[in-house]
Amino acid sequence: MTDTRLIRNFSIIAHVDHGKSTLADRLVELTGTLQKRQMKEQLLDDMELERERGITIKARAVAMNYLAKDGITYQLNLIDTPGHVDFNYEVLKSLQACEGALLLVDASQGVEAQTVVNAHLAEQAKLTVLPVLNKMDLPHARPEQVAQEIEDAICIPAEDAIPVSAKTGLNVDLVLEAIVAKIPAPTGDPQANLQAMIFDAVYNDYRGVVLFCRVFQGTVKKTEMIRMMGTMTHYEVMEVGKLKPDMQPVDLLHAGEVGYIVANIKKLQDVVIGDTVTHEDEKRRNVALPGFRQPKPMVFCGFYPTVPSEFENLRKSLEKMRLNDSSFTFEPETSDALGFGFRCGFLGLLHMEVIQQRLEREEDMDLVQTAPTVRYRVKQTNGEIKEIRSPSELPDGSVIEEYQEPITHVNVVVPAIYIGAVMKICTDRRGQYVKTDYYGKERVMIGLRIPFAEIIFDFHDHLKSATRGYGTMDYEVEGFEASNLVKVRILIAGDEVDALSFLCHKDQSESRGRKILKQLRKEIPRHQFEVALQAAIGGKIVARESIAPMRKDVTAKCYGGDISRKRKLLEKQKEGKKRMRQVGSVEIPQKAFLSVLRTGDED
Amino acid sequence: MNPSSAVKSVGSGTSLYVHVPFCVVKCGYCDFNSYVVEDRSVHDRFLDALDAELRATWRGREVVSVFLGGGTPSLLDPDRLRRLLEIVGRHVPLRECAEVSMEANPESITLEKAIIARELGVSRMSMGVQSFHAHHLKFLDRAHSAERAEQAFAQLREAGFANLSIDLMFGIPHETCEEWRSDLERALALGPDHLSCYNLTFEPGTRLYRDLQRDVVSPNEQEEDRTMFLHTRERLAQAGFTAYEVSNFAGRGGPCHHNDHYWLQGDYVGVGPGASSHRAGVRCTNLKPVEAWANAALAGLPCAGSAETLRPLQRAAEAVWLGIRRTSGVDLVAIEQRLGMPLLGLFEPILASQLEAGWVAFDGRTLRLTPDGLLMADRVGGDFLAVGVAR
Ligand SMILES: Nc1nc2c(ncn2[C@@H]2O[C@H](COP(=O)(O)OP(=O)(O)OP(=O)(O)O)[C@@H](O)[C@H]2O)c(=O)[nH]1
Ligand SMILES: C[S@@+](CC[C@H](N)C(=O)[O-])C[C@H]1O[C@@H](n2cnc3c(N)ncnc32)[C@H](O)[C@@H]1O
Ligand code: SF4
Ligand SMILES: [Mg+2]
Repeated sequence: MTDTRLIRNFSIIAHVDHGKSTLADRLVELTGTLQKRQMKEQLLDDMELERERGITIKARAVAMNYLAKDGITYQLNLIDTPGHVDFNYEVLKSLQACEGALLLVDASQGVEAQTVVNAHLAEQAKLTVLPVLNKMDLPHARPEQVAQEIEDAICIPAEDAIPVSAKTGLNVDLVLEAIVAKIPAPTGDPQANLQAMIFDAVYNDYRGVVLFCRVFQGTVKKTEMIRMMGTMTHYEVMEVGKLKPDMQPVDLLHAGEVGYIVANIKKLQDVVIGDTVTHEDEKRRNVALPGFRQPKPMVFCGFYPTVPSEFENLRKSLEKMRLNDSSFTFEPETSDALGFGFRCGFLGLLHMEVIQQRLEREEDMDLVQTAPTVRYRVKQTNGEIKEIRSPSELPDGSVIEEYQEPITHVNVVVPAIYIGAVMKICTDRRGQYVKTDYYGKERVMIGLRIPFAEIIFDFHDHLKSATRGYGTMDYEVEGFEASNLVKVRILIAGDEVDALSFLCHKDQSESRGRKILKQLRKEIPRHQFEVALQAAIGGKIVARESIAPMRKDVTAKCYGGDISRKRKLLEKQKEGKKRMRQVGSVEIPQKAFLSVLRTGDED
Repeated sequence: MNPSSAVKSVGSGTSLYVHVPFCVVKCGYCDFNSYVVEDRSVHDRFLDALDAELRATWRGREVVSVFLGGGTPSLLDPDRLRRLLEIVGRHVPLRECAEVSMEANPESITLEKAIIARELGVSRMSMGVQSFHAHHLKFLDRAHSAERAEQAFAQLREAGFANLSIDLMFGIPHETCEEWRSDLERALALGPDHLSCYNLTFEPGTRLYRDLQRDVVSPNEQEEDRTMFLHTRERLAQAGFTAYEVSNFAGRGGPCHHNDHYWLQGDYVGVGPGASSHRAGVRCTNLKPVEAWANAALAGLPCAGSAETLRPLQRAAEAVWLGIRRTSGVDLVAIEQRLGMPLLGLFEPILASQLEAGWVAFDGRTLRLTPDGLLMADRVGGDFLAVGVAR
């Protein structure tokens, strides 16, 4: 059994792309956890989507043995975390399993919005934070200034921040030594009763639910009966092990360690992330840990199976997905146009996209997704507050006293010369200026209050282009405020299509209605007849478009070399047609239901 | 004259396609496998590799027709053009072949080259004119003027070609019906023996397609394309041309048998980079980059970069889709016999709905598009293709 004093548990936290996963590679390599030939870039980003997008989505743990300069071998448990705002919950959970955090800052980019947020999370979790300056190999690295920025923004001393290059490996050995020297060892007692926290889980067809745990007190091993305290269920342990980073069985997990437990858990509902595992035997039970604050989803959309009979399968897939990502929610709903489906809640748009793509790839689900909306509220005449996650949940107009929309506090970090550009975006989006803080001489953090509906779609893109890519942002929903909202209904060939209706601020309703119709006009193929598209507020039509009938549908040229390609194209079109939704006599492609999303700024 | 009667029954013989992958400029609409290559040594290497590939693939088959296309075969300088035709002629006796077509572009064809082609056995020239309007030629990135096209046509006649075809395009963004009418008249005034009139298509991977996606250009109204399409058929009929396919019109020279052979699912061998071949339901396509293809050919390796084998039902469905674009229609009974499988039952439901829509006519044996159906040929063909995918 490893002496608890020789264990170090730490997370790597940073803004997006500052090099967390790359640093993790170097640590894994330098400690000899994997052979050079087993290495690949951003090794821990092994989900297909992570590799494609080049970002971390899920936090990943890896256990390493490190022979330090003092001649002693330490057990280091590293958790690599995602940097994007939408996956903040992963960071939050990871920090609960650690005593320390490496705060990585790109030495040329400097402190950015997520650097600040993640550093604060680590401080709230009472972790020891070690600043590390990465990408020192870049010619634009400016370590002194960035160290100053860290001191100003996060109020932690940064003069001994370690300058490294995760790419070349420069000074990575110093990072390992600092982890050993400065991050405290865990304090748990291996002799005490078992107390372990589930910080993640994944479903495996053969082994059931695999629990990823941090053991705080006691030990756990094969054949013991464990109890999950929140769900009050018990199981026999089949295997315990460590992540290296693949699962490797060990005899025993003990206080201070991070590892996994397999207990043939087939009921997904029995596992709740944040729950405490102890022994089933009453004499050997410990008390429950506080668990996590559940994040509250603020962005909602509908997921519907492409084939209606797949509804139950979709439910199963959603349950599996939720086990692996407890920051999203789902509940059944129905739509006239789309049938039975689920209303799902997410932390942001990227989160939504990732879940949708994971469902399609990992679970092989074919989905129709409806346009996302934020969580609104209405105050009813009887004083009750009703949450509105879909326009169909709106009560009758006569009982609505007031509409309310969520307001966010947005922090934007930019070089000071872009203050004006940021202010412009803010006023364009019904926002208010709150305050400015200086980090060093050239960078500022601007605080703004902006309605959430104004930032989820393309605020980030606008910010990036208005600041030549320098601006970074972070946001948090602060509360709700009264707002002048209206419901815009979309009619296709005279029939209202509920899945396309949306709520928005009155001032924007007409222009958004128009844009959506324009988009629909592009997405819906021509029919043999003319198709009318209308947007209505109440009984009043505020915009209209039409799709001209198909008058000619014949390929001009088909030569010998082209036959295969043209045939495949037509075959594919036919397949796509089978998957369209029929509303009245009009066939609507699945993609069209997302039209509300693609209404950027083409005017 | 029934233009399709001259076509031999499918299965007899093989056609040869030779791809010359070089162009003076890359036209904005063009997705053919062609490259702007100044370096003449690449032309030589191309010819060497072509020789090697022909030696490996052709092996004395019975030839139906030969087509030298591109790219721009006429861009080769006189000596190289001669060498090209000698190489091909070594494997296929060109002068004995019923139809040997070659593509020529106005900017590069000369009287000298035309005479060489004629002497070495080319019997039919097809020249890409596309438009007679300077602003449209410019929009399309064409490297020649309308006048040069007319002059080139005259030179081809002077060289002794009795069978000349012209390629035109309509539906170019901002083109008016008036402009298209005048293009047709100007082409007719040259007295071509065959005409191809293609509605401009935005092909993925082309400059034009990207412009479309970025909203830099917008396609013409479908209504206008339709008007031009219908006008073309009417006017050319009046001028004595037979519309034997959606975009192809036979004058004195008759139809292009080579293309007809494709549409009748005949066997063909394609040589050169990116060229496709077909043999009894197996389609393969050569490597596209000139270097990759030449390396394979010169090393005596197979040049194919991709291949697909059609399932029997897919083959049948394809036969209908390809054939129905021909004015004489598809003989379903003949396809049944050729492929040795019953089809009428399988196609029954589709046929019924197509008949009801008024898009096809069927006499129990031959399926044809009606005038309404002609305008919906992709829809009709697509429905049949779907039958091939379903099983
Ligand atoms: N030049 C240089 N590039 C680096 C260095 N470290 C990381 N990078 C590059 O920065 C990019 C982002 O690296 P990642 O390790 O994926 O960053 P991350 O912080 O894990 O990103 P998220 O998980 O998406 O938040 C990659 O292209 C890396 O190759 C470094 O020290 N020097
Ligand atoms: C093999 S191509 C090119 C032949 C020759 N290099 C030329 O440019 O004239 C034959 C014909 O296809 C037609 N074509 C090519 N691309 C087209 C497109 N995107 N849409 C419609 N017709 C096209 C043109 O009329 C062209 O002349
Ligand atoms: S259209 Fe003809 S000349 Fe133009 S790029 Fe294509 S093949 Fe070459
Ligand atoms: Mg990462």
